[in-house]
Amino acid sequence: MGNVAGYRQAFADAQDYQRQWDAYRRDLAEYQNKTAQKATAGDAKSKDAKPKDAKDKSAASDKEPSPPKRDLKLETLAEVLEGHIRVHIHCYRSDEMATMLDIADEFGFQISAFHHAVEAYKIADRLAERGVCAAMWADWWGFKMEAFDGIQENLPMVDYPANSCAIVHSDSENGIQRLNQEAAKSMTHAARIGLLVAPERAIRWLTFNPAKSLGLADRIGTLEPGKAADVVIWTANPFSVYALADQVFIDGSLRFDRAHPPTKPRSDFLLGQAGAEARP
Amino acid sequence: MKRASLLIGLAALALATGPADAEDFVIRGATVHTATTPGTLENTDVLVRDDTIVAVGPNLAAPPNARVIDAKGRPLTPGLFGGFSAIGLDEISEEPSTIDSSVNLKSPAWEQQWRPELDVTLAYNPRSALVPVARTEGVTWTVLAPASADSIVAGQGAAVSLDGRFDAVIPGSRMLFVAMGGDGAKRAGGSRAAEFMLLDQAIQETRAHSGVGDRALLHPVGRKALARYLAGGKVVFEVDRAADILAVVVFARRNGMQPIIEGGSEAWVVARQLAETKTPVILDPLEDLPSSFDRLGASLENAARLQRAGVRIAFSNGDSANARLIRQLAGNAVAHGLDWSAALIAITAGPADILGIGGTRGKIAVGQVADLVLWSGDPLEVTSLADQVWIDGRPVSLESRQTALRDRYFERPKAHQAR
Repeated sequence: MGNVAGYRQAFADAQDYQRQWDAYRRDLAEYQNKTAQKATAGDAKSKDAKPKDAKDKSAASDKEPSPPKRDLKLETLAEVLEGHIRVHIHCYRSDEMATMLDIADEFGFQISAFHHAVEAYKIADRLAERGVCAAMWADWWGFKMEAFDGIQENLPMVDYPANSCAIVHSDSENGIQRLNQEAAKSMTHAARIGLLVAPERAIRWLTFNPAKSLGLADRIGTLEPGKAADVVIWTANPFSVYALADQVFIDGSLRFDRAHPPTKPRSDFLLGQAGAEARP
Repeated sequence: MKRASLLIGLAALALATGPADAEDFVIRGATVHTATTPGTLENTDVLVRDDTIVAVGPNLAAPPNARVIDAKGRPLTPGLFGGFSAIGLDEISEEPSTIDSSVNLKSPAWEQQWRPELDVTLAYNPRSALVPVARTEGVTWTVLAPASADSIVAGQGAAVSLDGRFDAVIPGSRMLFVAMGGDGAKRAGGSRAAEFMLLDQAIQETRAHSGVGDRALLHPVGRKALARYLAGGKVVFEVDRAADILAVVVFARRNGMQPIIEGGSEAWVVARQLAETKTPVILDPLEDLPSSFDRLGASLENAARLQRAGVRIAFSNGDSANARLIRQLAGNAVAHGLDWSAALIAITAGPADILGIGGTRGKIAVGQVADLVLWSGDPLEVTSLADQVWIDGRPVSLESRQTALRDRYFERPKAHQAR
């Protein structure tokens, strides 16, 4: 209830902050301009030795303007308004996502993605029209009121309209280990209602689409010339519960190799402790 | 007289609220994963009369009135175990008004009252939205597990059938739940040793049939409840660290309890001792991170290592809303070295046997209750779904609140131009 008032006030404050800085920059430019002119005029004066002119009308700008105090919170929001910082919003319910889209319109910024977005399927067309991504679970639901309307077709239903951007996520140190399976479950449930998602499209839920939502799609997210060599070789079709990542390259360097444990990432935490042998 | 008519009235009520009568049916030509001795039987029929499996074999003669379901070679399994859950107890875990799985008496450890007599099955609501969500994916039974609040003894739970009936408790499955290890220590004043100290006190009070001193842990009803478990009852100990697991097993056996280890992240470390003492482990095979000092040895190979050592295992993710993910747990255990049929058993016959209801549940065999699932493909694969589910010999609707929401809103994107 008070949330939306809080968001709007914060962005209104950011607009005011922008205006203060704009005014400061204008005054500073004017001052610098004037100082430069004065320097030129002073040179001329010393040459011509003319009597002193009438009083300077803009005496105020004789003094160097001092900048407004930096406010890191408002500075960040101002960067959002200028389109330099992407907006990712934690939001479950469709009506609340719609409200956030209204706020984005009011203040003129773009929302990159809604996260969790358990009810995104209810406004799939609207999200696609607005070019907003939704980062969703395959099947988490029910742990709080906001998540009570979760369904297993959220990803494919959000993916369905043209220009959509569905992302599979985990929000969990455990679930992130198998986003491929999360996508597979969603594809399977989609197929049951006749919504066929091709594997080459579903893989974008965990590759290209998240890269796009982060503004990194020119560097990562697809296998094509010119992009970072981030590549996974799977033991089997990745949309199978039995498939494991076999080799993982990041920036062209082999960072995980199932057959050669020395390449596995290791932490210092377990070194020399009981339990280290769990991960040989 | 009055009493007798009341009993008849209650019996009539129970009947009236139960599902429709079962009809006889035969499932023909299935790939039957029995989860018991014959293993997998290709092109096999299963005949069900009333609520019971009466024949399993090729080309069965069926009574003329029996409905015939053509499996077309699809896999048929026993109904799946939904793990230790609070389905029908906790509707929305972060909504306190919907929580019945735990009791918090808000007393510090030094003046605790333990209530082992608490039976959470009395709060079970078969009309919960979570019930259809679980059973539409082949989960036909679960164990209602109380959650520990301020005492390490959480209370009693039992297995329930998820067919929607009010009298859902499966007889013979009552068990007591106790939190041990690091989690329990918080509730016992800060030390794992205090867990055993308090348990010892409760056991002494029970054996002495009276409170010890003026600070008794148990009421007379509680002593009576605990006495059943000291005489061979099943006690589920939630515990992860290898040393704690062994301490629990030794303590439980010494005091006449049948321990079941829940969690068991480091159980593989003491697999030999667990096998020797015939102590079963109910675990989440996806639990692979050293997320606490109790779980430094957590491993994706826990299930495979335990099974190889001869320990009886079953799977549970403890997630009421997503008990349906039990298949994914099993599939991943296979990806990390567990034999496929052992993985299927870990979500069917394994838990049924461990929890004391294996005589009627968990297998496709003559005499078993007809809890059956016909799958679109490999039941442990994330790309398969349940095509048909029967509980107690009755077909179960594959609709849930989730499918209703899906159907309401799928019209909307469909109305727009597809990509």
